[in-house]
Formats: sequence, structure tokens, C-alpha cells
Amino acid sequence: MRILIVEDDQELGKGLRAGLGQDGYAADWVLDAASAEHAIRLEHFDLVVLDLGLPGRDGLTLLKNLRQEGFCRPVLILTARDSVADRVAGLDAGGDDYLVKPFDLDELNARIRALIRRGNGQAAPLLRLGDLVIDLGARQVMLKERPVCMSPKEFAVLETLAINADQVVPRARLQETVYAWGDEVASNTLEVHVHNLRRKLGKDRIATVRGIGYRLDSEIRQ
Amino acid sequence: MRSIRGRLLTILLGSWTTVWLAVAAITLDRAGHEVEELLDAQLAQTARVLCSIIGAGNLPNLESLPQTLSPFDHPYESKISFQLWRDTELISAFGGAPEGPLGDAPGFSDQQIGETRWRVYGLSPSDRPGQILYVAQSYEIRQELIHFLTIQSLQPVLWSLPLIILLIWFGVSDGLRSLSILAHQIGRRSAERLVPVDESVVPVEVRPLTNALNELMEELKQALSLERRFTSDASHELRTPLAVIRTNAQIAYRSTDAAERSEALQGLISGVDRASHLCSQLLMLARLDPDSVESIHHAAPLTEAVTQAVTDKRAAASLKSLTVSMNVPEEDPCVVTVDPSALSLLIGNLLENAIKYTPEGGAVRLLVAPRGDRTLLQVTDTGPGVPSLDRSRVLERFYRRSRASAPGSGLGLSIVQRICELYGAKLELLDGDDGKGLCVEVTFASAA
Repeated sequence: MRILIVEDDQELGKGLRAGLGQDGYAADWVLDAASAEHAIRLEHFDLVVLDLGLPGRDGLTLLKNLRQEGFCRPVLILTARDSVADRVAGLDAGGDDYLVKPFDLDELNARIRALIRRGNGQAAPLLRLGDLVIDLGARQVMLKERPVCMSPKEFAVLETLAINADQVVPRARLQETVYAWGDEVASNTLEVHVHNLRRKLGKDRIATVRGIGYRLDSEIRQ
Repeated sequence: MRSIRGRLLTILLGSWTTVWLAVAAITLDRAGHEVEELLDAQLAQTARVLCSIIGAGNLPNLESLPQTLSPFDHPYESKISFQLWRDTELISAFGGAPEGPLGDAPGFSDQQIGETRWRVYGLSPSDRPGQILYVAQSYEIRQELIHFLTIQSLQPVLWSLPLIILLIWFGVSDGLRSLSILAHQIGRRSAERLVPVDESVVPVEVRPLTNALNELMEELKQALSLERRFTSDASHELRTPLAVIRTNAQIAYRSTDAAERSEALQGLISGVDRASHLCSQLLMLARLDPDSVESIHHAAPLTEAVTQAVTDKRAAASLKSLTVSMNVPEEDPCVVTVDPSALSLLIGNLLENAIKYTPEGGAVRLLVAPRGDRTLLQVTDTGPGVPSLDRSRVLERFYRRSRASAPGSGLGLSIVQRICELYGAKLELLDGDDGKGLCVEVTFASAA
């Protein structure tokens, strides 16, 4: 899952990126509205964490602009403004959730998971794909009712594939879910993750679509 | 102050009584005068009538012995009398006439005979020389008449006195009722509910009071809302460092990677530093209290304060390889009328800002010089400067042009501005050298 953090405070931005990284998200961080718009135009993000008090164009205006331009991914507003009027304004401008500083990292993560889940039309945190069950909330994977251990990055790849089950997910998109800007990426790392997933889930689960990407099948094709 | 009701009652009753007494006195004086004239005319007429009767020889018999007629039918008759004298011989008398002559000459006169005071009219008939006729009237009659008239005219007024007091009382109470309405209206106001007093319910005379009151409430409302905004801004500003602290603490708590943990702990410490810096700046701003300024006469040497501030900040400046230069008069201590600790706070904040915003290898220049009868302090840097449109905003509390470029509380310049306001100094933001960077100018009042 790829998350864009829009936060003008150096230390908080750094902390958010590290905190979300710990939970297996590929988090990118920009300091102002213009950079945020630029990043969203160029790359795919599953969710935006947005601070309202930005220098220059403020967060609310940015949010309105993004929504007008047709950006439909979930946006979580993270701000020091806590009045009811502020919350209402934030949600009305197109925010999907509102969290007031200072916040709990675990709560932030839980809200992000819920937003992504709902954004994908999944109200329940469980994804069932035949005998494969993925608990997006607890970040656990069960195969034939037995838990499967996974690294955060492997889970991130599987999550993206599972949400788009039976569809081909482009390589680049998968790469983005796992790696933020500035992360050192070896060219074959994604293949390593996919290889590990196949080892753990059975090699027929994930199909390689040559030249495009990968596909997770909900039922194993015979 | 005494009660308005009491005052009004006293004044109204007092003036009413005085005017009424004066009118009564004048009326009585006029009435007495008229009564006297009327009675005098009556005396003279009676004398002439008697004279003509005597001339006709009817009564009394002038040749007979002196006789006295005393038919006392009416008690007033004793107070009216007449005498007819021929030379020194009393020929005839009537009423309560004394034995001696009633008068001594023709015409009107006042005579005191025994205990009675008489008004006498003497008449000598021209055809009978030697004879003189006196008609007299006791003054008692006149006094009684005047007395009667006085009582008659006074009585209705005296009777109406309680009614008038009552009416005045009601009138005054009615006039004062609007004051109690106003008091009630004001009583319903509180710090949370400072709406203006409705002027339509108060009389014109009280309007200046309500106007002043409404103005005061408006000022109070603004001051309170500023205070509230400040408190709310201050707590919001504290949320960000708190969020930094919390986030980093959680990262450190969860992390298994030593490098990540130590970075998070560093972030945590820096968050705590920011929060405490903000707190101390807030405290300083709160301590710049106008009351403490007015009470004492302040003076501080500007030159020395600038030198001290530059020494204090030299380490911070050398971290960014900044050149800090200082141009101060050598002989003149440049004493200005600012509290010494406020002055060093002001210079410290300006210098700190200059160092914070100037990129590495830049220069910060301080200048102290007399300007007319005032003293000028200039802090110039080679940083990004502040566009003229933004110059009033940077003085606002918590305003930061960009938080990303340098961390801070957003209170530094607000504190500088507050100190300037309190001590009558002038603060100006100008372009730095060659239109680049920022030049902050503070003009202080020089101490005599």
C-alpha cells in the first residue's frame, strides 16, 4: 500500500513516514500542496494523509482541488484544529476521516486500514479467496485454516494482489506499494517477494503475465 | 453620593415652598395695603357723613353736656369710635372712645392710647371754627382682617402639601425607573454575553452613560476574543510538538532496529525541546504586562545589550558558518527607555531569527546609531527576506511563513512587537542590502 503524507512539519513528517513504514506501508512525504498535487498526478497512491495547516495553499483548498480533479482515493485529515466546525469543513471538503494531533500511531494505522478497505469496497476486514483468507486488520494470512508467516513487504504485495484479485496488477504498481521514494530497490526485489509468496501459498496462486505484471487467482485454475 | 430620589425631592419641595412663600408674602403685602386704603377711605367718609349730620343739628346736641353713646350691639363696635371736640371740651363721643382726645390734628394719624392702637382721621368743619371731629378705628380690626385673609389663602396650599409631596415622589420614582431597567439590563450581561444595552429603553439623559457602557463592552469583547483566540492558537501550536513526541515515542517503542530507534529518540527529544521553547515564549509574552511597565522608569544601555546578545549567539552562528558583525558607537552607551531584560529578549529574538533564516555562509549585521533624539537598532541578514505583502502577517502570533524551512514557535517577532508597543519603540521590517534579505529596524526613545 502506498501512502502520501502531506505535512509541513519536518519532524512530524519524518516520524509519520517512519511510523507508517514500520507497518509495512510505502509512505512518501511532501511538504506543501503544490508538491502533493504533483506527486498525485505522477504516481499512484492508495491513501493520502493530509495536514490542514500548510504554508501557501492550505490543506482544505488542496483537498477540494484534488476532489475536483477527480482524485477518488481516501484522504485522512491529520490536524491540530479540533473544533466541530473544522471537522465538518474537513469532511465536507472531501476528507474521509479526521484525526486530531497528537494521535496514536496504532489508531492512525487502523483508520488507514479501514479507509483502504472501504475504498476497495470491502467492509469486512477479511478477504476470502477460496481457501486463502487474508485478515487486513490483523495483517494475518490463513491458508487452509493454517496461519502463514509473512514479512510486512510480502504482506503488502499480497494485499494489493488480493484486493485486485483475478486482475492483472502491473509490476510498477506493485513496486510502488512496497517502496517509497528513496528506498533502495534492487531490480529483482519484487520477484523475490513474489517468489516467497508462491513458496508460502503454492506456486499456482500467483500467475505471471509476461511483460505486464502479476495476477492473484481467487480459485486455483486447473 | 446621596440618593438621587432624596436630592430631587428636597430640591423640588424646597423650590416649590420658596416660590410659594414668596408669592404668598407679596400677595399678603398687597392685600394688607389695599385693606388699609379701603378702611382709611371708609374712616374719612364716615367723618364727613358725621360732620354733615352735626351740621344739620340733629345729633348730637352740640349745646348739651358732653354725652356718650355706647350701644354695644356688635363686639367690633368697641373698636370703632368717634369724638367731637370744641376747643378742649369733649362734646360728644361714641363707641369705645378713650377719655382723652383721639388725635391732635386734622387728617390721618396713628395714635397709641392706653393699650389700643388707633387709626384716626380728624376733620375740622369749616363753618364751625374750634370744633374738631375724630373718627377712629382700632388697628385690631385691620390686623384681624389681614390675619383672616392670610389664613384663608394659606389653608388650601397647606392642605395640598401632602398631595404635592406624593405627586413629586411618584414623578421622581417614575423618572428613576428607567435607571433600574438599565441596571437590570446590565445585570444580565456577563463576560460570555457582552451584547450592547438596548438604547431605546433608556431616556435621553442616560444615553451618554449607555453609550460609554456599550463602547466599553465592545472593547472588552474584542479583548476577550483576542485572548481566547490566543489561548486556542497556543494550544493548537502545542499539538504539533506533542504529536512529534508521541509519534517518535511509539516508533521507538515498536522498533527493533537500533538505528531507527535512536533516530526516533532524537526526534522525541527535539519534540520536547520545541514544546518547552514554545512554553517559555508563551510565558515571556504573558509576562510582558503593561502594568509592570508603567510603574517604573526604565533605562538600559543598548550598546552593551547588543554586545552581550552577539556573544551569546556566536556559537549558533558559527554552526552555520555565518559572519556576525556589529557596528556600535564606541563612547556612547546609547541608553534607551526599555526594561533591561525586555531589551535583551528583543535583541535575542531578532538575532535568533536572523541566524535561523540566513542560509549557511551568510552574514548578519547589527547596527546601533543615534537617529535624531532617538536611538536606532538595525539587524540585517542575507536570508530569504519577507515580501512586503507578508510583513504585517509575520508579526502575528504563531504565523510562520514556512514551517519547513526552520522550526520555531512563531512567537519571536510577536514578542519583539509587544516589547516595542509597551516601551514606545517603533518596529519596521525593510529590505536588506541590495533588496535581498531582511532588515529589522527598531527605533527606541533615548533615555534623558
